[in-house]
Amino acid sequence: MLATAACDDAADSHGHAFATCFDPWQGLELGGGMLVDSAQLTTTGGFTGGANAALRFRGERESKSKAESTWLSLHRIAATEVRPIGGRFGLSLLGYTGIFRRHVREGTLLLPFNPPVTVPFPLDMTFMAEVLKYERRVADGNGSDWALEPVRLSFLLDPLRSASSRFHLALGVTAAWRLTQNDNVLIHEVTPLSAATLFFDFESEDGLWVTRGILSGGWSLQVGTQGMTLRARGEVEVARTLFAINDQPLSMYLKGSGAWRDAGARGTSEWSASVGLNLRLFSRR
Amino acid sequence: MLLTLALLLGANEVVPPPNGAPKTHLDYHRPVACIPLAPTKSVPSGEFRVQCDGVQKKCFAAPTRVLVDGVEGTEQLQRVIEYCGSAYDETMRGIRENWPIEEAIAEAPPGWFRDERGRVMQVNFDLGRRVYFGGAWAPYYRPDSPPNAVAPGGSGTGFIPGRARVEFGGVATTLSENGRQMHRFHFLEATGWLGPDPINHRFEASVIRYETSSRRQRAPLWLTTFIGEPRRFDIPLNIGWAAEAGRFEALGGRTFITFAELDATLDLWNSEDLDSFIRVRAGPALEMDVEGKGAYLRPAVALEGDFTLDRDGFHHFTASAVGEKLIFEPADPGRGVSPQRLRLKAGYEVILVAINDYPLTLVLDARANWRDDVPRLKGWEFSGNVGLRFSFWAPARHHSTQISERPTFSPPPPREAPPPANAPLPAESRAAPSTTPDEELISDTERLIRAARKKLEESRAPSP
Repeated sequence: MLATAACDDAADSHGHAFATCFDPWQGLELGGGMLVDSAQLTTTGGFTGGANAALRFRGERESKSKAESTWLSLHRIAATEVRPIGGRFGLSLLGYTGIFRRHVREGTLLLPFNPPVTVPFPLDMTFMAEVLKYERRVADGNGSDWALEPVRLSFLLDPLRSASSRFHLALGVTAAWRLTQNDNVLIHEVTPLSAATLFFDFESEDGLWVTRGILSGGWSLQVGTQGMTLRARGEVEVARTLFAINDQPLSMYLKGSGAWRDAGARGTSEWSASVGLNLRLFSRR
Repeated sequence: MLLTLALLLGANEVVPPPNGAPKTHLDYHRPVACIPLAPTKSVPSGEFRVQCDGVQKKCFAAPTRVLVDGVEGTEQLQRVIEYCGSAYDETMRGIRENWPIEEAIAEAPPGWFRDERGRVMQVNFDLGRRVYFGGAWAPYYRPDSPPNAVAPGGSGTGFIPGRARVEFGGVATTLSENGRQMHRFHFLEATGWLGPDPINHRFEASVIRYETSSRRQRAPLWLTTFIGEPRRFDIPLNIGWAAEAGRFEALGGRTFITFAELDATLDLWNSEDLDSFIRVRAGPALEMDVEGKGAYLRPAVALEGDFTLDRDGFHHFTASAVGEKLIFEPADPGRGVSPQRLRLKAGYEVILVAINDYPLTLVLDARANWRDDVPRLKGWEFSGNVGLRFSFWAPARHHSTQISERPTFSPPPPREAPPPANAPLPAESRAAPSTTPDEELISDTERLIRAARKKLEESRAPSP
């Protein structure tokens, strides 16, 4: 039946071509599914629904200033998630996420001796930025609570050093600034490189399988108060493309997320698990 | 003189079909030669339209004029191939080789039939292209009031047998060159129902309505599965659109004007010739209630079917179910908010007779309407229509074929492809004489025909 090899278009018996390879980090993603979370279990005890949308882009370009190095980048814009939380409307909107990995053919550390000494450095450098993350949970407080994280920056090292942006594994430190409003009281919170972040993204050659996740935790300082608070959050997702409609892939995902004193403006702890479908438009490779 | 011609043409004598078999019809899609042959009792002029069949090695000759009392008259044949040459390959070969010549009937274009006398008549009609007018008996029944009584402030009429319908309008279709897209135009269609009381009157009219439907070669929607080996499944969606401008409807003291309507259509099924279809149509319209002095939105959804049941377009069946809702309409104490309309219709039309090739059809249809937008006519209304419709134009259908009592000709033998322009000539060709054997044959036959024609003209010339 298939007329061509792995990552080219295939053709059916009538000669009509169709795509068999996709880029999971490319296109407009629209999805929804069922989820169960800790809050839901304590209130109604059943499943609820959720919907998500995001725009993803992948980039790759050779460095102009440093020979033998490549910038591999992943971008996510307007990542929106809507779901009921505590029986009321809940929204999470992340304006922009950018992951920039500089992959070098031969990684080295230059030691400033005389003469200079280079030693092998088997890690790629990665910079991750999350900008304008807004969370709103109507069920929290008197209904006016919100949280806004203007910026969250992570400096990561990638031990895999894959030449492809389909394989990322990075670990490093994180700094962040966050504003929360609880019962009309505005609070500034700063994470001064006192948190750690683990990020990974693995995709199959044809883009049908993908698993990715981000785990971040550390100590944050509420400005004007003494002491720091330990907070952590994480999300892991596995997705498999099952169908494509007009070459636009539809994948089933299984996602788990959790937060330790870091959910919503109230900084609550929670977990959730969801299963659903994601339609990704314009992601044909 | 006739004897001379016959002798000149050798054995080219036209004989009736063997054993009283019906006459063959000449093929409209092949060249016809107009040449003189030996005169016959029915064709004393000896002028014939001739085609020869190289497979049967037989020629067929038809008179060039309509026969009257078994003898050719003065009326020329209508709707024959305009260009009638003096000789074509197969005809010349037939004459030259003295193939038997059989009496035949001249050719007729697709959708037309020529009888034994040579008269031509249309037997295939496209009722999708016509200008029509008609009338019908159109009784109706409203179940919401006693018979023959008008309820105060209400509808009702009960059963009204004495009502008539008059109608006129035009429809046209065009088919794309590849035959895969049809455009339908309805223009100036109007229908009025007239009864004994103004409450029985209805009027519907439309300035112009357009629809298009298509048969796509490539499915606009396909599904690929990645469970096991990737497979593609095509979902053939024949999507089109429709639009209407200037629709009027008057009933029960209310008048509605639709300025414009734009619909998306999906052909659930359509026939290969696109004349028949089952379609879903949905879209918004901008409508005005004249008495209510306000414009509003009128979305509509419809399921429509149109079927041409036979090859020659004599039998037609139509059915439709249309739902409409008025949104943001002007307030009216006599009706609720966002009133609705439901129109159900099924109809059958059959050609009874054609008058000068214009069809007269019998029209039967039944309708059931429910609506609550007209305060005096809320609820169900059932009507039937039985009448006649006369149509002008109504040409042969787009896919009509030649009509004849039996097959005319054997299929033409395959022709050899010409050699490429730069191909080297064979040795004998390089030394060829100035005329080829074929050209020699043509010139010989033409000389023969010219000589016969000259003798015929001389015989007709008045004696000094």
